[in-house]
Amino acid sequence: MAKKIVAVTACIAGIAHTYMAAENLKKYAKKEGYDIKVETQGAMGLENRLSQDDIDGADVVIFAVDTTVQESDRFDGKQILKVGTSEVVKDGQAAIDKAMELVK
Amino acid sequence: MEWKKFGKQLANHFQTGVSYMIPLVTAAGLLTSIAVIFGGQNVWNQTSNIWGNLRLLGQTGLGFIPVIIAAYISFSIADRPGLAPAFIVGLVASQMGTGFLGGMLAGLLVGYLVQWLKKIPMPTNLMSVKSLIIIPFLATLIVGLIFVYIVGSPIKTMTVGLTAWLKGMSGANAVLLAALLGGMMAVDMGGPINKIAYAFGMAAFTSGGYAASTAMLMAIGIPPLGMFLATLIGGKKLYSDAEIESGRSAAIMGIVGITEGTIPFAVADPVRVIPSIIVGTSVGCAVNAAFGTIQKTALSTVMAIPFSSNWFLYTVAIIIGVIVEALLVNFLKRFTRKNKTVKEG
Repeated sequence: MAKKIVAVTACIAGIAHTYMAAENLKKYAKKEGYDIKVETQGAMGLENRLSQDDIDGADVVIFAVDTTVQESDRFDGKQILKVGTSEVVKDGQAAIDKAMELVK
Repeated sequence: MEWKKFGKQLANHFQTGVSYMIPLVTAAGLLTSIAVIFGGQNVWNQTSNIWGNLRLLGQTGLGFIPVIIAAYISFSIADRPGLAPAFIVGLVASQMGTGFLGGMLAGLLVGYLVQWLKKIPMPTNLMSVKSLIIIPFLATLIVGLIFVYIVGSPIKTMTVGLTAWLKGMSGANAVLLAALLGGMMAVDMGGPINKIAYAFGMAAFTSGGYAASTAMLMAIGIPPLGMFLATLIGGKKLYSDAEIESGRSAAIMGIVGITEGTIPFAVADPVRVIPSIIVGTSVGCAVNAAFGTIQKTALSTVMAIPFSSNWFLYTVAIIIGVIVEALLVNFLKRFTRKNKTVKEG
C-alpha cells in the first residue's frame, strides 16, 4: 500500500510561499507514488483542512512552515518533519525524502 | 534547550505575530493614506468630513499594531490561553507609548508565562479552575504590573529615542539604511527576512519615520519589475517561454506590490537571480534616499509615485533600481552559464 503523507504549509504573508510549497509537496509525493494531503494555513485561514482520520492514518507529517502551526495538537504523537517553506519551494524532492527517512 | 532551536522558535513566534498583523497594516495604512491624500493635512484633527473619518478608521487601526503583535506572539507560544492576557497587556503597553517593541515584549512575556503556568501539575478536579481563572488572572496581573512598574518606561524611552533617530536621519546614514532595507526586502522575496524589514518599516511609518518606510515600501516592487525588464531585454536567448510568461505576471505583481512575483525566477536560477535582485533593489532605495525623496503613504513602489515628495526623482530612483537589476541578472546569465541554451521546463 502506498505510504500516506499529510502536510501543513504556512508562510508569513500567506499568499505565495504557502501555496507554492503545497504544490511542490504534492508534485514530488505523486512522483514517488505516495498519497498526500496538504492543508494550507494562508491569509485565507485554514484551507483543505485535514480531518483527524487523515492525520491518524498518515505515516508521516510534514510541516512546511515559517509560523506556528494552528491547532497543532491534532498532530500529537505523530512523526513530524519540520522545514521552512522556502526550502520546500526550492527542493520539494528533498523534503519528501527526508520525511520518508523518518519512518523508514 | 538548545539555543539554536530556541532562536528558531522565537523567530517563528515573531513571524506568526507579523502574519496576523499584515492585514491590519494594509487596511489601516491604506485608509490613512487615502485620507491624507484627499483630505490634506487637516484630516489629523477633525472628523467633520469623510476624509477625517477615514483617517479616524485608519489611525485607530495603526494604533492597534502593538496590541495585535502582543496577542499573536503570545498565541503562537502558548496557544489559546495566551491570547486574552496578551490583548490586555498589549493595550496597556500601547497606551504607555512603548510602540512596536513594547508589543513584542508583552507578547513574549505573557506567552512564556502562560506556557509555564500550563505545565504546572494540578489535581484533575482543579484543571478547569486553572484554565478558566488562574492562568488568565495571573498572566495579566504579573506581566501587566511588570509593564506598569518596571519595563514600561525604559521601553518608552527607547522607542522615543529610536523614533527621533529615524526621523532625524539624513545623508549617508539614510542612504545606508535604505540600501540595507532594500536588500533585506529583496533577499527572500516575501519570506522571513523580508518581513523583518517590513515590520521595521511599518513601525517607523506609524511613528513618522518616513525615510525608512519609503525605502522599505519602494523595495517591494523593484524585484519583480526588474525581472520583467530582464525578460524583455534578454528575450528567448536567456529565458524559457515559461519564464517570459512569468515576466509578464511579474510586471503586474510589481505594480500592485507583491514581491513574491520574483519567486519563479529565483527558484529556477537562485545563484544569479537572488544577488541581482538584492543589488538592484538596494541601489534603487539608496538612490532615492540620496535624493532625499519620501512619501507619507503606506502604498508600495509604483502606486506611491503620485504621493512622493518629488515624483520625478522618486520615479528615477525606481527606474535606476529596475535597470541595474535587469542588466545585472542578464549579464550573469549570459557570461557565467556554461550551458547557454535555455532548457524548456
